[in-house]
Amino acid sequence: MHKGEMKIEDAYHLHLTSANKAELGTVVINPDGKIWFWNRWMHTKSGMQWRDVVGNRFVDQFPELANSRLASAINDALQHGLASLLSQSLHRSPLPLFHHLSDSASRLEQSIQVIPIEDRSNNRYCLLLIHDVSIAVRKEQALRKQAEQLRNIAYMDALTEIPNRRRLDEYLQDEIRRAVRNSSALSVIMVDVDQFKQYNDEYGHQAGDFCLQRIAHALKAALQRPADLVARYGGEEFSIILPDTPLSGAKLIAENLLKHIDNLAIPHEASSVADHITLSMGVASFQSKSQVSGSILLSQADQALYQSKHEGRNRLTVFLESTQQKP
Amino acid sequence: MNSKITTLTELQTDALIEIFNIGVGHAANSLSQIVGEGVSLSIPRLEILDSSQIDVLNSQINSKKICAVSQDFTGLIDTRTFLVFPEGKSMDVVRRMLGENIGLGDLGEMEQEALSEIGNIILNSCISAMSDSLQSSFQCSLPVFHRGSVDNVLDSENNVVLIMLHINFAIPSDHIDGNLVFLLSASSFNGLVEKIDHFIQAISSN
Repeated sequence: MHKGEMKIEDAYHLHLTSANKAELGTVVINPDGKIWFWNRWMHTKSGMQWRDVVGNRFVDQFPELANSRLASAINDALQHGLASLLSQSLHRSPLPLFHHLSDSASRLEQSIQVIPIEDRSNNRYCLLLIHDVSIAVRKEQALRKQAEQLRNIAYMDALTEIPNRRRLDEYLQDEIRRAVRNSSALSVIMVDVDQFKQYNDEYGHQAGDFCLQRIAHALKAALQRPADLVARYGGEEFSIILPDTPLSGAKLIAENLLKHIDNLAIPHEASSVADHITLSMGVASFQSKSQVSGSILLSQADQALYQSKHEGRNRLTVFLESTQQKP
Repeated sequence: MNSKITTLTELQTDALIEIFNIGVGHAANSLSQIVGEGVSLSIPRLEILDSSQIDVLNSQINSKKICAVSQDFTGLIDTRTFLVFPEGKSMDVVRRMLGENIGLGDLGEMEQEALSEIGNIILNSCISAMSDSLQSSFQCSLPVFHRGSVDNVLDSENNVVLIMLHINFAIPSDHIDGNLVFLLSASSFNGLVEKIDHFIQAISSN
């Protein structure tokens, strides 16, 4: 049969059947904002038949749409001929449509296209195409969760389960930027376990690993503010970043940490410093005026740490620009 | 022969910037409502380029890859419009809008769609403002997401005029710069200039 021969009723019937077979919602709104057509998908997902809603204003049919982006997008289409897209990410579920009508938790995640169309007399209608994107959303959520898990692994030191060097570098960079922006203070502490090589030789590497784990957990537990970060810098060295903390505050925190590890009293017979594990520390602070990078700040703390070790260990030294001799 | 009138007078430029700022002002309201935070948008600058000067855009964007959202408008002028960000910045925009800290390496499907909607809101608002101010109507297509080099995405033919606008996104605690680009034929551009002149006359005679 040639297409010219099809009767108008048959063509209408075929169009209707196509619309009703479609696995997406199609709604046509007339120039007055009233529902002119909706397909069987809309019936199934909303529980309302076309013949029950035809002639009702679309926004009255769904009172929750008042002042919504969908309502203004429909208005833009009818009044100004503008097409719009409503993404699921920015509007999870604009319309009350459900997988199972009896289960309000099964509300569909939707992506909606709002398209102006004109009839042969140039009257402007609005076509809504409503896509169920629930499956795609769930897939992305799963991917995002996986990405987050991987990221956590990539940023964690495998032995001590505290943040690693990579995380330290990124965090320090972020915090320095924030400190400059807010003209706030920032301090770092470099920590070294005194005579750890001797500890390993005396007790074996397994005991050494366990010792590092205990110290890492103790340092982490002793830091109370959520923004403080302790990371394993490498070997038996740890770094601590203290946002919003001036040098005086950082010094107090460092003293407290020294005491804390001292109180653990982890035996270290081979140490020349004490009969248990002790730490040496270097503290450096950042004034937002000075143009200091993360690596310079760390190296200043490291210089102070070097001085602590040089002066007999089990102590802390504060880096002061004026008094520090260049190595 | 093409008579090349690819410049605007200072007055015409100011008028057009004014119209676009009205547009992005509306867009900022819509975006603020969606994200529940104050988003403000402004257009500080406008440049008219021809298709041989596309490198200007390249040098300003300073990124091998861009993400863009385009829409076609037809009516008084026929134009393909783009909201353009350097690839890295486009992720910042979307994550700020969605309030997400961690995303996948690239913009995922859902994030692309979110950026498409952000572009849709901004481009529609600009065209609406033009349509109101210049008293002419437009038809438009749905937004399309692109990723690639400036040349690939804009894919401009010869003899095309580019109206390039700088757009500044101020989202609490951050600023992000992007570009709006309107590609139009020389004849559409001339039509636009004519309408702007009417607009200026109408204002100054009031």
